[in-house]
Amino acid sequence: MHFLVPLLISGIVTGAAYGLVALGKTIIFKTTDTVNFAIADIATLAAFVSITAMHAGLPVWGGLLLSIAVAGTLGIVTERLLLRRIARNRYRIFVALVIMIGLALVIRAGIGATWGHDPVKFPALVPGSVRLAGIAIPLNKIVATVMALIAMGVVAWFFTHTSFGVAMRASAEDPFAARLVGINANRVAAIAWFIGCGLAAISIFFLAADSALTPVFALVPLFRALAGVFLGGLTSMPGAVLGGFAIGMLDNLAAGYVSASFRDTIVFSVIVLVLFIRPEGLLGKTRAERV
Amino acid sequence: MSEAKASGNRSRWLSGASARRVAIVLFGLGCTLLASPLAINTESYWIVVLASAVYTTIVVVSMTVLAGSSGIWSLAHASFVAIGAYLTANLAGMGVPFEVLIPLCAGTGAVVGYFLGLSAGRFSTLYFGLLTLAVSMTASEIIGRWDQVTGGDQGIAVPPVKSLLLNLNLTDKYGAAASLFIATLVFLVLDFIIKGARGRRWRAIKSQRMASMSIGLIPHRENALAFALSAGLAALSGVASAITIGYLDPNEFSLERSVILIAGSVVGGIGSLAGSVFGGAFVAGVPELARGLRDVAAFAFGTSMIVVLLFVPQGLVPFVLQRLRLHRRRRSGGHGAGESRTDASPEQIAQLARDLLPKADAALTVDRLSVRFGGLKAIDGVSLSLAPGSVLGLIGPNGAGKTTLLNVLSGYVQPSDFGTLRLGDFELAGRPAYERLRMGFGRTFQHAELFDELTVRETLLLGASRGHALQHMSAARRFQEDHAVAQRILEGLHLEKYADAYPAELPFGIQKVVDIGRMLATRPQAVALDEPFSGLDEDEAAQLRAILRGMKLAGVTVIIIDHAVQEVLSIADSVVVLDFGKVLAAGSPAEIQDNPEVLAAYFGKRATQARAEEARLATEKQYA
Repeated sequence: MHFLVPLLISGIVTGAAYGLVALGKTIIFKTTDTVNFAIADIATLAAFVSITAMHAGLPVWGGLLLSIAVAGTLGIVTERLLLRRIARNRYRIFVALVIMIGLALVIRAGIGATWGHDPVKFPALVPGSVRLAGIAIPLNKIVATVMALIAMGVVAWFFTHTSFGVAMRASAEDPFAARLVGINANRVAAIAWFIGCGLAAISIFFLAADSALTPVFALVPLFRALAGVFLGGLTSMPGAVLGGFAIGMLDNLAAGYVSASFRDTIVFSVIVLVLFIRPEGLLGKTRAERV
Repeated sequence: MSEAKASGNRSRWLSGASARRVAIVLFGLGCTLLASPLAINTESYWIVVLASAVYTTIVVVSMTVLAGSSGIWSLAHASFVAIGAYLTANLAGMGVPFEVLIPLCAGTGAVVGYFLGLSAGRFSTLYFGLLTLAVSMTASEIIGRWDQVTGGDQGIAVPPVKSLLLNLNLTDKYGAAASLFIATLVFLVLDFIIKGARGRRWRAIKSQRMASMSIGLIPHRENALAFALSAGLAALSGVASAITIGYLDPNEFSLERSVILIAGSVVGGIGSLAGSVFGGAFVAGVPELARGLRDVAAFAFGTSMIVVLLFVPQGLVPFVLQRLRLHRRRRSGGHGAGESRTDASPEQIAQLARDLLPKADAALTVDRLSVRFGGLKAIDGVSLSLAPGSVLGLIGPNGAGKTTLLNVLSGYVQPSDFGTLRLGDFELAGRPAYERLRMGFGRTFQHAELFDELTVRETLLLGASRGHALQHMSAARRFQEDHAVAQRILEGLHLEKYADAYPAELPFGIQKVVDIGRMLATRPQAVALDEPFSGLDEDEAAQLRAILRGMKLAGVTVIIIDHAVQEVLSIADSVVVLDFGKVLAAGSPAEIQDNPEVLAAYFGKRATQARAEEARLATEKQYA
């Protein structure tokens, strides 16, 4: 029992981080039919840009804002330059996936060439730690979790209570009808990519402070978040958040109770099993593939 | 790369599938001999690079064929390579020879692939992405920890692999030759399967999953078979690499390796056998050229994937081959497109239908059928029946539930409630779409839904091959009969001049005729036609009329749904009018024509009153 509580706490903390990336991916998938395999790499690149700025004197909170802005802008540019060209491709969803896989490779190589492959220490927004349930938890992780929850809340509010957010959801359901009522599809795509990549940037910014930044830093959060997206139902935003938290929990429990060297095996086996029983995911609707 | 060039040349001076296969065998075995110590010094560094390009080609071709024929992208192919490599490393030491390793490794890879494919294929092709990602990560962890078998992170040395037949130790000097031999085998198998009937099925499913079920194909099972084939061949790449390198490095089986292999298939050309040779050379060659520059190779792979997909989406090798072919065709004058119509009289069509289709003896009975989508009742307690050999017209305004009813009959939508839903002795409800054909039920589609990557002839062949799925006859007989059926339909529907055209090259009217041909090829006894007249011009409509009359003459049971009410009334024996999911009226065309409720549903109350008024005035005038 004394073992379980700290595992659950750190499950919530990592779950919040994966949930943010998963939410970003789902927003992008829903609006532009793209499985964004490069989202965490875009966020990692943004984190490298902000650490350079922070070394030059930018305060850490400024670094966070910079990171969000850089990732969001890169998202917009990616959508504009790489994805709009293939809009008419019959197998668009797969072509887009492979292009994103290629972009992830390019970004990783670019980071390696620019910043090198040695781990770079990353500052915490709030240093220090508190004792909770008998263990010391870095304050930064608590701040990260709270910020993740706030960000999720803001996103939920945006999509349900602002007219543009509602328009975006409408556009995702039926792009053709949305265009007929005057919703600008290009603007919807740009905003979705900005929000999606920006959310991932928040997640990576805080995760990096836990360990250190490397060019391949994106891989673990990327795969976990992807698993969360599928678990949540591919197109459901609450599902993605829930899926992310579930993966975070599972990840920590698997490492704590079974074996740290088989955590991927355990996490993915459970997901494959769950999806085998419930193909539409936790909160997804059964839906014909839009291919 | 030389093989890519050779395959381009091959098609010029040889034609026909068997000639191509002979060429693959001769070329492959020739290279095998040339790359053996009999001809050259195989210990040179460049021969090892060549061999690594060859074994990389083996896995690239297995991936590219999977993506090209079935639209499935795998992130786990490096793991399938690992299956072959580690089996070889562990079994060679026990004295298992090359000749046994080949079928054993391919078989193991295929079995693993089949089960993975079966679980992913049930959902959607996108789900393959997640599943293969999971496999890849799991495989990496297993390889890292299972020290006795894999040597853990340190890797493992491969004991000498011996060939029993040749009485040779392959490991020292015959790596390149063994790789080339396996590659020849792999290309031969793929050529047989992909260019053959099985490949036609896979391409049909890839382009029209729904329509493919109407001719009896089972998408998830075919996806699983394609995945099994691909995984089995990928495992052979592992055998070749184990023999060539003599040492297994776990990094060669990582997710990143799988990603780079995707780059190879994309750059060479998705689905292209010749392209995979270029892709394999690319994947093996770039790191050689960028030796010591850590990020350059990854950068090159990523950039090439993006650039090729954006600007040359078909891949470099198919692009070059297309250019060459275009050039040649231009010089030879090319073949001009004929006029866009076919002419067949109802009598000819009737003869065709009588020759091909079984005699209709099953009545269609629908009793109290309801379909609900959420809160919406799309169909609400509809009953109708249709005698064998008669034509039923189903009309009604937009949203009346016509298409839903057709989709229930063909198995794409399951009813929420029903009394009976039978064709003859078969209960239709609860049966998946791909089983309808076996019960004798065929259909066409409003938008034709032809298979993009199959020519008209291939489409008809595929349909014909499904038509006798239950009859037992030899493969050769089947082959002959399929070709005879396809030829008969090409002639009967006057489609011969389009036989080798792809759907995109055909006018819409012809596409719809091909759709009917595809359905006839499967030889159903009852057929449903979804808006056959929509989108046709007057000439095309006239031709369709002839086809419908022919089918009616031949005694085919037909359900026809269309907005062209006059067309339906003129051909149907009986008509059912749907409105808001309910049967508004049913009867003979004459009865329906004058039914005031039907007129009201179609034209609105006021128009109907006006028309009734007109009729009354006309009658009065007559009697005045």
